[in-house]
Amino acid sequence: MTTIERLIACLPDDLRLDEPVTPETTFESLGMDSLDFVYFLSDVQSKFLVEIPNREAKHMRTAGDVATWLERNVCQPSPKH
Amino acid sequence: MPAIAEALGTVTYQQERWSAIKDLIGPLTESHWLEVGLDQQNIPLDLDTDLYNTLDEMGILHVTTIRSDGRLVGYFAMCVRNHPHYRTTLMAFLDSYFVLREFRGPWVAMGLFEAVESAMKDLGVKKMIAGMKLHKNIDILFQRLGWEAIETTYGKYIG
Repeated sequence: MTTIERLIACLPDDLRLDEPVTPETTFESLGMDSLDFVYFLSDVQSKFLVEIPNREAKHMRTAGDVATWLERNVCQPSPKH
Repeated sequence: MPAIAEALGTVTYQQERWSAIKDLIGPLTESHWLEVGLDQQNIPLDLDTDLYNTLDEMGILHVTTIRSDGRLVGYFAMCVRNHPHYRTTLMAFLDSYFVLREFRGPWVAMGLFEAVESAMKDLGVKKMIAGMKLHKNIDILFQRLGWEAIETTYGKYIG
């Protein structure tokens, strides 16, 4: 499962999902309010074992933004030798 | 309900005097009451504007507002004063907060809380006290912003 697919799985169930969610889909267009967004962040943090600071989160507009941040900030497992 | 993306526009947060918003705030307070007010059959909304005028003139009432493209769409009102038990400590006590439903974007309320905290710090406030209705639970939002639950409030209608 890709990072984006894992993020989409964290989105609340009751959003407006008229079209498939892509990395470019904005949280606003899904009808997310602050409460939805905080629940989403909490779920992401649990699943990715990371803490997303508010100063970073407030600039995240899309799942793609979150994925980019995670890819830069989550330690990747070392390849086995 | 308009889509949030269409409705949000350019959102700004600012401190505004009660006197500057009192003629605009009526529809918001009514929406607020309809959404969260308790005992509505027995306790009608009836804002005491004279009291708010006085609190404003005394420098106690501090209102942080949200505007979208200049339109008032939300508020967070605090009463700032010294606590009678802790006279040397300036505290801020919640009056009310609300954002019109169609303007509740992903960071709008969070931005409002941050703007309030910043304004209270500027005033020298050491502690903020606020709450929520249990039927509109936003615990996770408070906690995300570093607030701690400190008290449970009970009510009993005895009219």
